[in-house]
Amino acid sequence: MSGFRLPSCGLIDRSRPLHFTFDGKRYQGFAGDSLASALLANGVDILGRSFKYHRPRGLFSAGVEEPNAMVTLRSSARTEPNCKAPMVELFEGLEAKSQNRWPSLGLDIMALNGLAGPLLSAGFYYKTFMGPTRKAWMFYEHFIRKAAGMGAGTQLRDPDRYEETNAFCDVLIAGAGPTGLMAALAAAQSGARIVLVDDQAEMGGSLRGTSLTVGEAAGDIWCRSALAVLSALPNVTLLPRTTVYGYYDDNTFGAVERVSDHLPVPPEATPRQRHWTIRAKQLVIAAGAIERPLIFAGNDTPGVMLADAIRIYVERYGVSPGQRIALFANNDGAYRTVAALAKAGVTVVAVVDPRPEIGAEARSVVEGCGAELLTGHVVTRARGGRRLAAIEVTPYDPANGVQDRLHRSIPVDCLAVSGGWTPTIHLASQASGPARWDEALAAFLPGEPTQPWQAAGACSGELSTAACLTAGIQAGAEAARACGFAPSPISVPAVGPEITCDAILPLWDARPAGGKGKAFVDLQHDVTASDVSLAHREGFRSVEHLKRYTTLGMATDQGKTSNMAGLALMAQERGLSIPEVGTTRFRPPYTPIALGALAGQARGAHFRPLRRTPMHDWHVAEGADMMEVGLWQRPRVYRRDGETVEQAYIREARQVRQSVGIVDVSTLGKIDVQGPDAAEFLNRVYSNGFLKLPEGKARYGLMLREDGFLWDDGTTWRLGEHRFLMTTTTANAAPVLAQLEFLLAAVWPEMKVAVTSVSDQWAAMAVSGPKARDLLAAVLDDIGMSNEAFPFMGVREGHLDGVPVLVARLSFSGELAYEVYAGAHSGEAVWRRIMAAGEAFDVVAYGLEALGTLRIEKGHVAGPELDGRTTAEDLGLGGMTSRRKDYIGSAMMDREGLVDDNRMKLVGLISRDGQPVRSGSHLIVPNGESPPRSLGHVTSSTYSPALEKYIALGLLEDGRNRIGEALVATYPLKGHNVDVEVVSSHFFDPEGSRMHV
Amino acid sequence: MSDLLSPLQGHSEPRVAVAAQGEAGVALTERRIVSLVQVAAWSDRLAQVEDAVAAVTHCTPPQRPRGSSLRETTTIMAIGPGRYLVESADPELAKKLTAVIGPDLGAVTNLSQARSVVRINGPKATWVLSKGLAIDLDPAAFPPLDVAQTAIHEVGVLVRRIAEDSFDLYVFRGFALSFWAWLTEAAAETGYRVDPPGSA
Repeated sequence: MSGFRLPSCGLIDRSRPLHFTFDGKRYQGFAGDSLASALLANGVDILGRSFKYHRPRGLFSAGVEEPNAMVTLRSSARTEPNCKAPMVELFEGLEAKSQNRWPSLGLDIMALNGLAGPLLSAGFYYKTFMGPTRKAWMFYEHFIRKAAGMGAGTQLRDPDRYEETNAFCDVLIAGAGPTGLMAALAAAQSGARIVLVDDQAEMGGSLRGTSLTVGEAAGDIWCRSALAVLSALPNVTLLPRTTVYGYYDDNTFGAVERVSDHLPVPPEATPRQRHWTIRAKQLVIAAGAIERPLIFAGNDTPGVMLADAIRIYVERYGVSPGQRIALFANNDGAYRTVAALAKAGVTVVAVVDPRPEIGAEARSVVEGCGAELLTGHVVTRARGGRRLAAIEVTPYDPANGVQDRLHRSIPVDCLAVSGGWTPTIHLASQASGPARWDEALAAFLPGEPTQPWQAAGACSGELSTAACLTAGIQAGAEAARACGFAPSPISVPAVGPEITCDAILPLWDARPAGGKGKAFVDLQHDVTASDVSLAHREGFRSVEHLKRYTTLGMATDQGKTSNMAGLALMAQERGLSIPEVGTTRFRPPYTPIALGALAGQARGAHFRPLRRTPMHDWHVAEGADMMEVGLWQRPRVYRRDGETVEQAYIREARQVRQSVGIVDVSTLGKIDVQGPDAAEFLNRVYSNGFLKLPEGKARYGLMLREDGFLWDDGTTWRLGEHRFLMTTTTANAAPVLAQLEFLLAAVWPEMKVAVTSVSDQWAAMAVSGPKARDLLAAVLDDIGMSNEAFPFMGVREGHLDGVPVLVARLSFSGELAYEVYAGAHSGEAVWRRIMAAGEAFDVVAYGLEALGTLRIEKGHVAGPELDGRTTAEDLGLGGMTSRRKDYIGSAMMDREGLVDDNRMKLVGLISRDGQPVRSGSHLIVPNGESPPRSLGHVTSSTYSPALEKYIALGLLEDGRNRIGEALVATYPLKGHNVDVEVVSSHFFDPEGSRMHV
Repeated sequence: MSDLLSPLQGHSEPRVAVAAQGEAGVALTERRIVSLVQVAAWSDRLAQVEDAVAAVTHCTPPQRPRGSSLRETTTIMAIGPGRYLVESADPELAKKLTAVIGPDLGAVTNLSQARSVVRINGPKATWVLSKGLAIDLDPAAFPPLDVAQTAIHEVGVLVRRIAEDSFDLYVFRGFALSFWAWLTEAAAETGYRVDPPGSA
């Protein structure tokens, strides 16, 4: 027999039926059901197949610890594998599929693995595929990967939104069971800001649906009124459906809220999940405890479930998991399940307990329901394939162990097991010393805090509701006090009679010596008790080795139901106590997290912010190919119909040299440098002199790193005696500013200099070409443009159509050229004005590619050459490193390695066979040694319309003495070899005659 | 020549995007800066610079870190030791400040076109901002008139609280549109209304 819906009881809304499918079959549940309870109510026994042996598995628990019932939800782009059925709230139209089976859940071909069991024992992969047979892995990998894993995700784009948010509070409370609720009540009335988090849709934890009375009312009603009080307080934030998954430095917490997981589709503009970064002064961990199973043969048979889970299904969901139920427990607490079943009218056949004596309340519960009480007994085996049919019980005493010859069989369809409780110390263990062993509970408790938290209630070993309520008040008040609040005392509500969890007999393993059949420790990873023994025999005895060798506790459930038993078995093998063997530490996340929740809004167009120049819209409207340069969007080429990128940039570059072109250079870093010491400051940060730069002039400057390597270059314009405008490369705009600020703050605080980024204040465009002067003369209102009035490197302030502009006569292209700076908001208008006036001068807008072409033809260096490994001398700029002053980098630039004659030097390269030269190619001697030695590499390359050849810049060992040599530029990854000739890097107009006209 | 062009032109025009609940939880308005000027005082000239700023703007600079002061259309924000951002409706502000704060006192830098400002106000303003702002927006921790220099979605932003439910967000001009797109997406959940640019 299977589970069924009880006629009454439970918190479900029987007036609201909900329909759902499981493996395509239609079922009905009720509002308030979980997928697990609804399947149980419909008599579905098998919810999945196990990881390794593909054994049929049924529901095992009622919470996040579920190791068996993992399902895939929804379909198509919303497919989500590995959802724990007890944590899935039922909704109308829910679509669920079982996993890890083929072709169907009933008939799973991989179940043959079960017969091959001995081959698949611990260390199977290492033994089979490593060492001498390593090559076998290459062969088997494909098949193993296909067989392994649990559910399959989707390759489709997730259509849902995810968000992140930040919260700050005084006290964060993780868990809203009796302890957490009480802590919140105690702390909240002091005025402290509280965030109360719980992973269930309805808060209340163990109080939900309980038959226990709290205060004057049933526990459930008390719980609802407590929540009503809390939700009315402005200083309390309640976060249901939220899991605090990680504990980070400075009391920062990661939490994920499942905002819309309980709905078929998130409402418009509502995220599916929300990631919370919570910064709290104090944390109260009220995470509860997780029941642990017992080990016997066939303990994974569908129908074997955790005892308290059965109580929850009965009391909260009105479902009985079977008709003839037995209990196998080593502690009194589990007898609450017997009481709940009896109250619901479900037959409890037998109660099996290894202890010779049990508590009086527990005894009276059993006697009251008429079940057979078998103290001093254990269950040694569960029988039945696809559903539990019977249990075998055997006398047991602590001295002689299991006496298997005396076993008898009891027909049951469901077995409740309880091996005691494991406090949920996960969060605590992320911020504490080693966990503490508690002998009475046979469990690990939180260790010494290394951050401001306290654990209270079941996670701290308090296993009765009354004790939890008291502990909650204490923890809440103490946390509020630690935040500087003065909580007034509140009284503990009285709790009706309850069976407490005292008097546990730490029995871990109920297998008779030499007993047959698989007894599982880790259900999710299919690790058996004999795997632990095997690990011990093979020398993997440390808990860390045990974990990695057997994969015990490494499944997505993090061993929530298995770790303790694994430790206990290893301790038994080694003849040590459990605390001597020790425990592993829990890492975040407590439960698996969707990557979408971590990504939040940072996806698609929002993956990174984009930075646009003031002329951006014009570029786009003109059909420019935009490209990302760092965060900037820059025009690459303005392609005309049918042009390739290469054709476009060749046309643009040619037109610049023939008439005039305009390019957007707004991305250059621009730094306002002001103050009485500004000139001296610049003189210290640039390697060349700046003290004598006259007002109204610009100078090209080099900056070195402190270690003497070349760092950045750019022009700096003297706008006044104490005022300069520095420009940097696009890439180094922020680092240069940061360096200048550092120098002023820490190295020369006495200097009166202020540096400010004005990169966004100015739109900048370079107008270059033989007709540049004529074009600007046509548009500028009040700047004399003759060579005498406005010489090379001159800087002038004036107006263009009434817009204030700064114009500097600088040339990156080698042509007669000017840079025009206008206020950013006027940038597009100024650009348009120049373009309009430029029609008469055959003006062309050019992009980054042509900009590169023009500067390579001139041998001007840029990012690819300023790669952090080159010196000024390497790039032919040695003359700019002054010998008459000290500056950043001067002390280190003459180190032996930096002045070595054999260093790679900047050279020009011309393709000899008409092929393009690929950047990144290595330069080698033709027909030389094999494998060839790299003499250098190509840094920048282009087609040169001026030379009508493919040309490149490169860094070549002893390059200046190799002018005229024939080399090969080789790119082995693409099998690309080009014959090149080494030439001077000044390909075009080396005298600079074109820009000095 | 044509008027000044905002980077949000074509994006910050009035509209209503309500959420499922049918209410606009926040109103977003592109504010138009007339003058935004940074003043930096040499450490031994702070008092003179503050006097000079007060003389020009008739507004006393804030006397504490992270503070701001307000008088009529002038706002002065403390953005660092001896550093202020002065915003005003006076188009000649930079010129006037430069005239009284010479190189002997400090430095004046015109940033009027270097920033875009978006005002967000409404009952959901802190909820929307919390999606990107990792600072405590509780009025006790971040009271009205306080400013914070931080980042939202990797974009540097200066946040100034106007009132409990109202904030000005200053971002670098080049990031303005990207930031606006992020902000409207973040506000979609609670619904938003865009008021005419310059109306706040």
